[in-house]
Amino acid sequence: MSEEKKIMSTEEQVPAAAPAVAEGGDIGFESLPVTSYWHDVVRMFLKNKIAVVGLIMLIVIVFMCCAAPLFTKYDPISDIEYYNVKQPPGGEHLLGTDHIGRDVWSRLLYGGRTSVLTGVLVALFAAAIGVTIGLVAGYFGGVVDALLMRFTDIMLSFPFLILAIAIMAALGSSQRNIIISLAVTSWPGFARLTRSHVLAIKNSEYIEAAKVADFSNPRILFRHVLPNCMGTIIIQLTLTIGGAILSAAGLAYLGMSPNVAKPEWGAMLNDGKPYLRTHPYLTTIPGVAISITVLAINWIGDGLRDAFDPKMRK
Amino acid sequence: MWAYIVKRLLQAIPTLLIISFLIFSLLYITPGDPIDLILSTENLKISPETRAAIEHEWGLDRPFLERYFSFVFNAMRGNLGKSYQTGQDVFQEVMARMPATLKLTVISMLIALLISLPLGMLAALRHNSFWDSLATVLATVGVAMPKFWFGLMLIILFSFKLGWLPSIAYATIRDDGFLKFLRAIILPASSLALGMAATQTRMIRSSMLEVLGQDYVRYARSKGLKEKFVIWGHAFKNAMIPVITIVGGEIGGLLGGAVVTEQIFSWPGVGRLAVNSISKRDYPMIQGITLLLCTVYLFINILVDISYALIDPRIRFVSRKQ
Repeated sequence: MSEEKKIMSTEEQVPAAAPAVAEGGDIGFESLPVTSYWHDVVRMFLKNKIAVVGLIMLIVIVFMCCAAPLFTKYDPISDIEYYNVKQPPGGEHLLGTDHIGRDVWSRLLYGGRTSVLTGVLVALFAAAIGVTIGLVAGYFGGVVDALLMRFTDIMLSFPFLILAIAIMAALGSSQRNIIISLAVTSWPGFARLTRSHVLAIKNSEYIEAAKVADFSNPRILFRHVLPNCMGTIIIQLTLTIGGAILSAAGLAYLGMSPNVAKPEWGAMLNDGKPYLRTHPYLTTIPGVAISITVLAINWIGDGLRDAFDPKMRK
Repeated sequence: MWAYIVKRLLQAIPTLLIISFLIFSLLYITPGDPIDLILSTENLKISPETRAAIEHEWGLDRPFLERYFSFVFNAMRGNLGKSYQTGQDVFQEVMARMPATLKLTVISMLIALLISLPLGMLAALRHNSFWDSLATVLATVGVAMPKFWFGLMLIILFSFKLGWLPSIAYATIRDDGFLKFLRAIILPASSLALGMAATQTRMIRSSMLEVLGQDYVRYARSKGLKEKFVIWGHAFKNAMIPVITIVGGEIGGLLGGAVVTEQIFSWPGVGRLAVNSISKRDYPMIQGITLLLCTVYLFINILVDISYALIDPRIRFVSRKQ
């Protein structure tokens, strides 16, 4: 779990460092003799217009979902207007009402909390599994490496959605189990990336020095090797969040989500299924929300990829 | 070359064994008794003796490892057991559904290539032009949309609003003719193709751009070769090598994505069978489907790797040296 915390804290660092760089932009970083690695990354990221647009979009979306009560007066679960079902968008209800008379806009806002959180948690758990496997495989090499990577390849060769559905069937439908089944199926990417990174750095002098100093293996792995793989992991983490939001929506659409009143974007799509012909907006709206969110996340991911790439710098 | 093919085929065996073991243990820990589930849907009650007899016939009373090994030995002889639900032979039933899924996969791959190849090439050749922006927009938006939702949007537009295409239809070339087949498959295949078209466009564009910057392309140009020859004779072939890898890797995604797409369009493929079987705890059926789908996937990947070696002499050379 410890690397999971690190990932979170590094992620928080990136936006937090942003204002400092923006202020520093006036004096010009080029004139400074030495810039730190993370400052370089943030500077490159902020130069990328599309990535910044993505970041702003995501901040707006996350803010609106977290502060949902500020933007709607309806409760997504208890405000049910049986006399006012399937109202088209516009009028008193901004985006209309659903099949039992709940306000779609408020369900969209509150549902975003669940959907985005699902994506983030899936990515974090997948990273925790995959990074650990990748670190161990790359660092120890030999039989351990061969076995772990063979297993990773097998997981990669499996149509993962089918495995996720099978796991859902085994565990039962709930939001928690959607997270588990997607995390269990999306770690192999992390394992492969981390391993290749570890292989590239494990013979460098500072790792040798750490070994000579008789540091324990976990300490070398998590304190010395892991921080150097952080760039790759953060990129993969971002892209996995987007993918997980999409897959979670797919599972929910297949009816794998718990049939409770709690709003969630995939479940909203599932609710709108019977009314596709008569009330298409019930399907269109949650899908647009998913697409915009994933688009923003992917733009951020692309921006990070360029920012971390040393070839793109200077 | 033959040694390479045999090696790859042998490598597939442990993969299939481990996958079948994973699924087997997953089903083993699954709560919910298949007999109870079938009884509840049929609204029947049976005596404990009958239940014991059914359990014995299905092998549910035997220990886990014994069940697994007997499954493996039967599978090697092509016998995947009988469906709990219908009593049909699993192998036959899955194989009867497989063509529909493969047709969907192949056609959607063709559609993806039809979009991504010209668009990706145009974007690379006219770098920073309108086509380049269009390709980038398609690539980013295409990846961000849920595929099944895109399918639903296609249904709303082309079936409900415009009335051009059927939303639910299945047709085969042999029975209904090519045109009817095309009309039935175009919407599901397009919705499945979206994600793949997006990744491919991006891949073709960046790969082509990289190749165009290489020395041998500059040399070909400085020799005075016509641009047509430079692009198609020198650059294109080399740019396609990484693209083929991506196409191979995407097949697993397509087979998985087909599950949801088939559900939306009521396409009678393996994916729909899988979803139905999972909800009914039809163990032999789930086992059979995952095993056969993985076999298909591994087989296609081996084909991709072989074609890779055929196109790129460097790979052949390396494997011979080893």
